[in-house]
Amino acid sequence: MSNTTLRIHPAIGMARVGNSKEYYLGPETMAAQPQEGTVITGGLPIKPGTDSTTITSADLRDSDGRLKRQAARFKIFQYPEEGDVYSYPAPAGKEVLIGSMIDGKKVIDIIWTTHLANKKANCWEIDEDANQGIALYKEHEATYDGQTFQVKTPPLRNPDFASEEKQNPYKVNASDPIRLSKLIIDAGPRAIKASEGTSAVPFDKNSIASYYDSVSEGILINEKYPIQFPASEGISSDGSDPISYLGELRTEPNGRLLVLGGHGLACAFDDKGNFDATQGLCKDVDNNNWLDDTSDGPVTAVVVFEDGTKQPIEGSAWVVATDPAYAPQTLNVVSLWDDMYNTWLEKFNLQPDVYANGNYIASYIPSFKEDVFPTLNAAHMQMWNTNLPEQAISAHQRMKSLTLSKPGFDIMQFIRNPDGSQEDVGAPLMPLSLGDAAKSFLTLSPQQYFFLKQWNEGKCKQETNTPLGEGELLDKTILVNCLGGRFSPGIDLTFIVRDPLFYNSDWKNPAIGAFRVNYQPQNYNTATTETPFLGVGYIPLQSGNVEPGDLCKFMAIPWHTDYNSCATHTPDPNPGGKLNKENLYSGDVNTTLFWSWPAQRPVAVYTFEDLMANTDIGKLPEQRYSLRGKGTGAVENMPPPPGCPMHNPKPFDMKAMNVGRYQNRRDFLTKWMDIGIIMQGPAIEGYPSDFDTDYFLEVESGFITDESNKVIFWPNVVDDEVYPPKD
Amino acid sequence: MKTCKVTILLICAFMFFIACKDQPKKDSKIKEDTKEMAVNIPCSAPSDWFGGSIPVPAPEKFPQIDVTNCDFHQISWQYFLWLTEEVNGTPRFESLYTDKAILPEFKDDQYHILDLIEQALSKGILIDKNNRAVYGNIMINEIYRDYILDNKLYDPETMNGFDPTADFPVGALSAKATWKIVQPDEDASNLYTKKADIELLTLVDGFPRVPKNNPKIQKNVEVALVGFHIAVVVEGHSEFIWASFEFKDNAPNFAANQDPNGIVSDKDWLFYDANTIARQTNNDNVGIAKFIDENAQTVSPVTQVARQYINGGGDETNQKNITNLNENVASQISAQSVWRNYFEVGAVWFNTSKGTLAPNWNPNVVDSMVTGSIKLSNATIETFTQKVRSQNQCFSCHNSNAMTNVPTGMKLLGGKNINLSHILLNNYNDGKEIPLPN
Repeated sequence: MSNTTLRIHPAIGMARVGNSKEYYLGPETMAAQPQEGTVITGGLPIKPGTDSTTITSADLRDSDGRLKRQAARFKIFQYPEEGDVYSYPAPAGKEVLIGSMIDGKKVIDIIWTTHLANKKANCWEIDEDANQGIALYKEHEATYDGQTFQVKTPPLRNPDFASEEKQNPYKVNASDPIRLSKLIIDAGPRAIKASEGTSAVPFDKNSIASYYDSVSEGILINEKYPIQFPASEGISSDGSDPISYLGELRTEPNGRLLVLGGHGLACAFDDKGNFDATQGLCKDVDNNNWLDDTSDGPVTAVVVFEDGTKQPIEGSAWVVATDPAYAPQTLNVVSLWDDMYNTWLEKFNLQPDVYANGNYIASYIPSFKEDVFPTLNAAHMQMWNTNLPEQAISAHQRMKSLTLSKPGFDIMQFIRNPDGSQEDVGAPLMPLSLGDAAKSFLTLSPQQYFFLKQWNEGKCKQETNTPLGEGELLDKTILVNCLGGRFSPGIDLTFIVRDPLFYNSDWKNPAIGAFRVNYQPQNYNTATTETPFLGVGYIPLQSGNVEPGDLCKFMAIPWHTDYNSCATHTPDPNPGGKLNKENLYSGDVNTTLFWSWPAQRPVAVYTFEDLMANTDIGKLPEQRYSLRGKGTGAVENMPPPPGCPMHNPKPFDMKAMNVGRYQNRRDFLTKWMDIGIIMQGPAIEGYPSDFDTDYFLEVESGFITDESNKVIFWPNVVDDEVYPPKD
Repeated sequence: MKTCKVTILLICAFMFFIACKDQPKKDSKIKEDTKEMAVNIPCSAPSDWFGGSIPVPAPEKFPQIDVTNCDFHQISWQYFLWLTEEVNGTPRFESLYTDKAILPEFKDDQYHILDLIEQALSKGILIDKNNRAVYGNIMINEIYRDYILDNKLYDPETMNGFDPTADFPVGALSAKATWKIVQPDEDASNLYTKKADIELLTLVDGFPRVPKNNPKIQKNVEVALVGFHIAVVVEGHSEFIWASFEFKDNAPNFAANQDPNGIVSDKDWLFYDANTIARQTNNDNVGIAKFIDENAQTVSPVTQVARQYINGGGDETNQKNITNLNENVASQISAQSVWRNYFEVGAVWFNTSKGTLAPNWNPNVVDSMVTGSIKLSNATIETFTQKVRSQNQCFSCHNSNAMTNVPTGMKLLGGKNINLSHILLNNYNDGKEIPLPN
């Protein structure tokens, strides 16, 4: 019996949609992290067909100007000397490629199986009004139609689907077979053999489900699998497109897997499940009667040896296909990794030397490079996606220059304590962006705060405490490049990453390892065409049976409306109460506008085009809104869009609250692919060699004219005058 | 002497501890019992301030026991009257030193050229109805200046290493005045006017600004005083009392529950056109302001100004005391004096039974000790920041936080009590600014 264990990395991979058929590979370096031998920092995607050659601005779009997709790349690593119990970090493993040796046996092929689905339309609302995040999955009181009762979930999306009467959204049965078959996009599983991987295996309506079958020890084609693409018959209209494809599988010649997501489509349907482009987009997060083509699902693999034997890899990885990364090198101050790592530290006893028995260990000496600098560096990067004023830019830039030595000031006086005591305090406390559900302002995750505090007290060292092997480093890197902290709902993944039930608790089993989704392997052989295969699946804090489609389902439906909205807002909850025209000037409510998640959703940008046109050579130009095409000029008290109830106006609205976004959500559906990408100067084709290499500029925008508003430096308040765009 | 200094440091350290914990000083004898006083005795100015010389304010004798809200407004008014009292033909404040006098080589600088047009934080320019920028200048008294000179705080390295808990001495005073340019045909008879030299605007980074180096100067320009800040340390209040005064016809006050689409006043004011709606007032123009005619020094857009918080906010006692005192001063001051046309907007200080000044303090984090006019802004000096919650009072900007927006190569400046002084912070950040020859 071999002692060598195999695991797939990353534990969670991120694919990103694009309207091109072409693609590049997702970044395998951390955003903003200095890289040896180059001035270009981490976070840039990789050219396909290469191991690590990063893209340039010329690689962002295809020859027709379409935005390329980002493929998630999965690799297998072997851990020969791990023993019977896994501990984090694992000893450095070694990648398994075709031709590799494992316990003396040569690998000749790898069979990958992935399953993509999207369950958004049969999921529970994020409940924008309640804004309580995961807390809504605990027992709480709800009121509907004048009646109050106890519930354990938020209201269900599409409550009236397939019903003649209006339904109580708290009491609709999510496991109703009609809902499961007509509200879930389930492309089913697909398998690909690396040795035959020259052509893509699509997750589409017309191909047949396939998967590795452990009985026959080969790929099984199962025509009985009920592939579901609801509302996929119709004619595209005004941003509503039938969805009949969620992505595809490819492999590299060396055996690695590539998973591509969809083309960024959104699809409207009526209450019978028929394509119906006339449906309105009435909300930012929870739009009934809509689908999108993001997805997620498990990634498994079987290694095929020269002697004909096969070794299935017990634990799975997971792929998520989500929105494009418009600023891949801008590090989030709180990343998805920070949230996930926090859960593993505090709930799984991952590193008892850091956190144990409910406390961070005072004697723990964090690594400046690994635990402290990324937070400071993220602060330094925010200027490229926001409209920081000059003095704030200066202060943020200085953060990058801090070193292992104690800072020359008490930095903790500027850091919001994540213990809940300062959630409603804005400036001078950082991060100065909008908070998580039920919190006015963002806080660092507790371990980030702890590490900074230790450093501030002189307890810090340069070298790493947690030397990660290549595989586990990839786990971390992928998540570092995603949004954390503000899960209302966020854009990549949401609050589920804080739920221990979401993870495989058997993590000390070397076949599983840390950070793995709690996937319950499916028996595809039981599939029948008559019955939907996927069920309700994972329910936060209640049921950890995670199925394909259970990760993306909590995100906005469609993602487009949330992205469009998440420019700037007043804090919610507002520390002084709900904003209205009577209390606007009271000084009690906060009328200042703050950024939502600017590293992932750029608000204000410096464009490469403007820089080159600037008569003050090499000096940063004025900023523009990232979203600035026709229809982005701010309007207030806009009537509800077509298809939305007239009684749904915003309770309080002023022009300045609507800058930097489409005023009609629907416009975003046909324009998201025109948003430019922020890249570091030296990665931009034609960037002058004598210009500052630390500029991060927008390139490849499809917005020919700026019809938005002039960007005014922060602080911005709700009654600001708005001006025409820069000429 | 050394022992004394150590003792002071220990006391300051203790005060820091108290402030950090935000706990009332249980054994404090300093108490504010303002309500009773306001109800029974309206806040008023002593009659001996009028009809002769205004008594010299005595900050060292500021009440320490049973101090009232009125006491702070009274001494604020007393300072204003004393500083505006004519001495040798000009108001006394004209004999203060400029902010450049913190440098040894310019320690006697009293050349009050008007050199400020950018408002603090917002960087906006107040543009009057004649499309001229409103100017400002900063002044300090001898105590303020000497403290900086004696401790060599003009030297960034020395300032960086200076005791974080050290305070400005009692009597240290700084003032900031704002001036409107008087047009040839303009009636300014209700205002204090003088001839002043002003630094001219030119395009800096695409916007009208006074350049830092070698600005053009126009001499003997008729200007009128429209706003006046006084910050002074009195016994027991190293945080300074921050008081502000304005010309009475500058701008209207917002109504309670002011509707953003409702007018603020149906009358014309110096910086407000009748019937302008609230949302069109106090709009920052940074990045917007443009020259109409650089030669004529005219800029646009005209700023519509309103005062968001009457009396700078605060509780009912504070509001009543300011109103009563303003009325009382106006009733006693000579009918011929232009100074009867000025009023105290408000003043803000610490209730020291709830906390004292300590390094790294910012009112947006701990505000329990801030009292008086807790949302105080001068409509001509902080026009644009009134509406920003984290910037709408004196201490929002003048606090003891560290300064991190320093140029590359400069050391970050840790939190210090003396960081309340932006004269020092600006000097630390910008280096020595060379005064212009008179």
